[in-house]
Amino acid sequence: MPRVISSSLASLVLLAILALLPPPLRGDDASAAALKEGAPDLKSAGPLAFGPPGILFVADTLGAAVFAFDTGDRGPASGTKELKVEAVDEKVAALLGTSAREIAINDLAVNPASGKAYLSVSRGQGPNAAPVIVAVSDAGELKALALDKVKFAKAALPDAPAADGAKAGGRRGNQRLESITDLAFVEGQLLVAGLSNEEFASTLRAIPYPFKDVAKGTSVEIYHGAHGKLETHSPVRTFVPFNVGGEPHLFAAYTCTPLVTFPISRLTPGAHLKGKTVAELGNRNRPLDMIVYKKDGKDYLLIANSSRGVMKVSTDNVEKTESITEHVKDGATKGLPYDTIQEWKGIDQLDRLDEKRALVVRRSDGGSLHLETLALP
Amino acid sequence: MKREVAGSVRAAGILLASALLGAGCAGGGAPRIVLVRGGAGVVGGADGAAGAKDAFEARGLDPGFLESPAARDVDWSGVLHVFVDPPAAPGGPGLPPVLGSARLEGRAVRFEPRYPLEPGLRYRAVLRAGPWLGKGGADGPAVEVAFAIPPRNLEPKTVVERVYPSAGTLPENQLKLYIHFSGPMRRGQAYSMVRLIDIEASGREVEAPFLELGEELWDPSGTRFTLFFDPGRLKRGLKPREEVGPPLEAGKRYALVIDGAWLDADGASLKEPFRKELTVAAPDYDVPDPRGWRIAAPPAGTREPLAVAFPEPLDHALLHRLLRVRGPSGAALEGGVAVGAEEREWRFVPDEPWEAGRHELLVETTLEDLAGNSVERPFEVDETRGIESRIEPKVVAVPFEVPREAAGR
Repeated sequence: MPRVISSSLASLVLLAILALLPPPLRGDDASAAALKEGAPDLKSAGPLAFGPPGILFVADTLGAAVFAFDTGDRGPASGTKELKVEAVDEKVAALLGTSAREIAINDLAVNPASGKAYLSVSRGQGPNAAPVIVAVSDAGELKALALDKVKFAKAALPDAPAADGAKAGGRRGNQRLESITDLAFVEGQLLVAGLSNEEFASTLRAIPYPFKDVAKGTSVEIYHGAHGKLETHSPVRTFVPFNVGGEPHLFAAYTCTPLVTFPISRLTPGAHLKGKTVAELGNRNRPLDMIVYKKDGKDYLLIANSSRGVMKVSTDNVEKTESITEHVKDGATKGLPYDTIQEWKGIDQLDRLDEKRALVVRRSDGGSLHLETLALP
Repeated sequence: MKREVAGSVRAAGILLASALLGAGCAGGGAPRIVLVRGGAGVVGGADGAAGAKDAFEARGLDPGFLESPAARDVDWSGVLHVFVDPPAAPGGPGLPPVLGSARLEGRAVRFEPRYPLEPGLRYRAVLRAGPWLGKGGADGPAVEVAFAIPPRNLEPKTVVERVYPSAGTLPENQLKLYIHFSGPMRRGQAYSMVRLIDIEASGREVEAPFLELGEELWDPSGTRFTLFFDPGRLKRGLKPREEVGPPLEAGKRYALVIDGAWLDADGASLKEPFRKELTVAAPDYDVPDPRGWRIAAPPAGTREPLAVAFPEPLDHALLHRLLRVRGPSGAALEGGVAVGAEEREWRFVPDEPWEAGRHELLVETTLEDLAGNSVERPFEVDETRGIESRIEPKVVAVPFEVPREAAGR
């Protein structure tokens, strides 16, 4: 069964905020004021991302919205304990009164403030599945977030399809849905990658947080070239913020495998911008999720794939790398060099835990899912 | 409607540990746990229909204790727990108790699980030892009762109704398929249930022709699945295409095979497998051009359909959403849409009779043909021709005249 990942990049986001904003209280104050207590009408729980301290963003594909929840979890991190929860799928299922085959773990996010893991879960596999957010304590104890009384804010996606689809002439029975495939919080904006079940197009939205003026959410298209000639509008599957020469950039991976980079400053409303293709991942290397980290003074990007283990890409000279306009035959590589980390097989979800470690949801040979701490390669 | 399931007496209940305390519990009988089924919503409701309030009740508790002041200080949610009975894996992980709330209601402790109980599963309710079990109850054993929930009726009933495009010939760079089911389906299996067979290569399966997304692109009702061909193998100049070629090749014949083992939302398999044979034609790199569409205008005063014919099939889903009709007043008309055979025709029946005069067919330029070429731009754009730097939502208006009734007759 193919499993796909999209994770939240939470710790990076925090780093990005620290690096880019003057440290004052902006995050905490602004977000606390923006949230109201109540029962959010969350219809599904997909990708997760942490933003300002303790604030968890949850993507709701069915409801065509993103939510900000105050988890109340602002740390501090407990430190060096190695979290390991065996058969986490069975345990989450038991908590929800069902069996592992009746749930799906859709994403994993680590709260950078506390190091605590959060899972977005569907209870049920049909269209009426219930959304659940499960927090995992250092001791491996599972707790469902109370979604009937929580401080939250909601932003409906701009130009989201009408729920009933019966608006304008002839628009009856609208079956359009935009799957949210990734989220990240960067420079006061929540970036949302979406994939329509009808049109094949790349849309990335930037929604300012706190969600006071959703109408200002911007939509951009990013395209990449091939053969130096043909440009394509493929959906961005997953992305991660990253600093290139002191300027915040995004790495974005497409469903059709190229990996591109572009400056976040170019994400302006209505922009149609071209990313620089810095790597091509090759056949069946379907990008699922990415994190960035530093090791021994060098920068790396870790890309989880559907079938080939995890790819570790050196991004040291990304600013000097020339855009790939034509792929090189005979196995020669052009663009950023990468290694495949074979030991990281079966990774369904990943997020960075701290400087040296990642938290992953890994599928064992027996089929069970384990939540594990792994040292970054 | 409430049904009560108690111990091993009823069909669904199995008494595990009959650790009943005898003498100390006069009045309400011996301590026991019963399952109260709260309505018919449970059986058959795929993900738990709302309104079903199943509850486990611990009864036969010591009335003397319940009436004492000490009873008020008890946190009952820590007294009655329910667990999913683990699958027969000794040494398996310790499972957490089922999420829910417990309270004292009359002389019973009532535990309501947050989510409806799952058909086919076994649950174990545990009433902790304590003074509520009567004299000496605090030192005695806990009361444990297991309940088996009857499985769902898994009679196969769901079928694949249609696959779009409905034409038997597809362009080599066909971008996506829509699979329509007669009822809601289960997620998580889609890509293992659909195969593409190369008929001429004696039934060899085409390797990884589709884009596999963990999200699985379903519509909100769970009855339509969107299956994209792997775009990396469609686009010229990308590595996957260079390495393994396009998933479909012009001139060849294929069969799309949908496995009957695909489960619907209730967990039942399909009633039958599905097979559709395809012939593949040359790739299509051209954008659809609304100026080449044939519009047959109906006479005014009638509610006869407006018929628009296309020279090539267009995307079935997008045809339902991206075409509109504007009347002489400038307002979009309300009405019903039907897409004709092989998605080469679009028909519109207005709610109100046609007015005579100038109308417009409004075409959103994101409308695509089978190969993902939209009115706005081809699937692959030649960059050397220049690319717009802004995204402007665009609509193309194709005018047509609705003739007066008299003129039409």
